[in-house]
Amino acid sequence: MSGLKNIKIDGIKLSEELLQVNVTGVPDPQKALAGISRMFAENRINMALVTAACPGSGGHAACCVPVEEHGRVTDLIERDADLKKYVSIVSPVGLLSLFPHRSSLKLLGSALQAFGNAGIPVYGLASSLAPLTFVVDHHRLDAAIGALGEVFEIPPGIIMRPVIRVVQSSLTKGEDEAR
Amino acid sequence: METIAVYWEERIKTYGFSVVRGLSLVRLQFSDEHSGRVGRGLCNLEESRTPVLLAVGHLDGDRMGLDLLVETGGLDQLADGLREILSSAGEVPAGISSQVGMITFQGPHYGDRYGIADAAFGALADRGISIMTAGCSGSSVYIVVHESCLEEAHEILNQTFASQSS
Repeated sequence: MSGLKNIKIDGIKLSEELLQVNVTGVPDPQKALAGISRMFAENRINMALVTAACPGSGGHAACCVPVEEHGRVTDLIERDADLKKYVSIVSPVGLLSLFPHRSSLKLLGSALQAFGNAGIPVYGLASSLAPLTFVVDHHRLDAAIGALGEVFEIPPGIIMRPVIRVVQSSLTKGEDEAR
Repeated sequence: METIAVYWEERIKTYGFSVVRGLSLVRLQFSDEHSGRVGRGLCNLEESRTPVLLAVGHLDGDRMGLDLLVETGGLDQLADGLREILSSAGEVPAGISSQVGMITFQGPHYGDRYGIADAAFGALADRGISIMTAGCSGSSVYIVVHESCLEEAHEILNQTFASQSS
């Protein structure tokens, strides 16, 4: 594995504690995706990561939301009789994002190899413009970084832990102007 | 430290849309105990020089599903390599869908605010557009559809979001 240590990582970003809501085995995963998205938007719950695969039958929809929303999320899902039988929750999880991705199959493969060899489950993943993001157990984020260190060159000082949190206010424009 | 942001928009702003056609969606399924082996195999496929435009994965029980979106031009070599990797792990071959396209867009603080996914997926679902794969992370949204409905999907999203480039 040491031969793979020619990929240099410029940044690793970690999220705060989240929970992953998984909808699997549902007959219409796209309907589930739209439904979950609407449910959380109406209740002002942000989804930090969303993935969906809709192969016609089966497939999944999954999202990660702040762990402090666990109670509200559970209540909302419980009220949807059609949806709840397909839902499972993994908590707490964390997002580990590697920069830069640059559409690299090698980066993806190396990370999967590192996590697989270290026995760290990957509950989800999604690529983006710059980062490749993995969903892992929150308490294993440091172990996940250690596993990555076996295959990547990780310079010191590049790990970004959550310090500043941005939340969307529920204040409406009318309410603010009235103050 | 907590920062509170307030968004007042008639339509959610986006920096603009990127629409790409001529793609293929490769779907892999494997046991999570084979993740290390599949990962190693993917590393070796870097030689195919096929950029992965989107990767979306999900663990369901002990099965990992991984969708890879690539340019169709580079598909054959990648597909052969994947077939070999999965076969050596005793897994079924990957499913491949060609003639697919991707729409991506970004916007301010998308990763920190609610309602973005609802606006996008709700609008497409309301108009009967079938999504094959989707991924939202950071400030970016990636949606994969069949090429035959790519233009319509783009138009729907263009009506839903306020593009700064238009």
